[in-house]
Amino acid sequence: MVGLATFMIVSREDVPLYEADLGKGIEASSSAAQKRDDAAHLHQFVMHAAQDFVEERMWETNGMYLKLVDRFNDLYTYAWVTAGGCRFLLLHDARNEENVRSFFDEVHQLYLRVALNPFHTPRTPIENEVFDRRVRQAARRHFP
Amino acid sequence: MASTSRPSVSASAMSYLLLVMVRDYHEKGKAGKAQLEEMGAQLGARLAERYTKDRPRFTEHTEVVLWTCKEFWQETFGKRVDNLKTNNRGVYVLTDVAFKWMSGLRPFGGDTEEESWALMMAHADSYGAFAGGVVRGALESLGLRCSVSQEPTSQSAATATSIEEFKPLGCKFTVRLAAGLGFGGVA
Repeated sequence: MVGLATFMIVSREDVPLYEADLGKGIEASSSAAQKRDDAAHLHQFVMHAAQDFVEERMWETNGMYLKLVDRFNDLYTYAWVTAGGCRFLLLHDARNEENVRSFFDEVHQLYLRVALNPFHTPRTPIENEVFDRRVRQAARRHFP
Repeated sequence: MASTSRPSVSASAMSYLLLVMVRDYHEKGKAGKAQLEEMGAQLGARLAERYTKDRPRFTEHTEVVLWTCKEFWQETFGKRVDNLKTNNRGVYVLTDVAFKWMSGLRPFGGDTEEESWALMMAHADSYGAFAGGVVRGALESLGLRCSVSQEPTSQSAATATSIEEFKPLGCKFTVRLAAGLGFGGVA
């Protein structure tokens, strides 16, 4: 199970399309829930800040996987950019670039299915439950 | 079925769909053409997303245009663009001498040869509008804001109608990149 991770998809025009907290399951005590809430806010903040680095790094390479783009204390931000300019960001507390790459690749496939759906309006948030489920499954599979 | 080939769409199903669609929107005149173009743009954007999945990202306008003329055209229209011209100031002309989507078009309907020919060319323009939209959608989704106009062309003599004399229609697409466009992911 992923220790601490949040995953986000941002479109080319900086519209957030999807966000998921992939961390461990909800614990019973309320203080733990409170801590998770704070952590979630911090994660979001760190990822938004990392976008500047993503934009810089985008121009330095023509590969899709940008690997590690930013680091905040013990939180690492990895990024993947599609040819269409859509960005995937993953905030993780471990350093394992290859797992992240295969995770991004799989999510790219899932994202494509959503994008190809004629009933999905481009550049709008992805509310598809199947997509959400599959992303979480992929996370569990790639980050055991 | 132990098939490992890529899923594919029946070409004839695609032709029939195009035929009915273009015919319906053609009757709506100018508005119909605009709608066809917009539908094409949405399709083109999706196709481009899909076809660029497994290749490195683009770093220059020209790379995008070249990819469109080769890989994209091959996947979408069954062949590569036959000729690419540019004025090096943001205008590209892509020429396809035998455009697949117009391959079934023949002069039809009118009382005279000229009328039939004109009807055919008018329909070809609607096909071209849809295809132009596809090209625009693809280019825009890869960062190149542009406008695309179409011009169906014919290699046959002006009023040739017999099967032997008639050569399939082609199409010329003119792509005009938006002014002041720095190639960028943020349009």
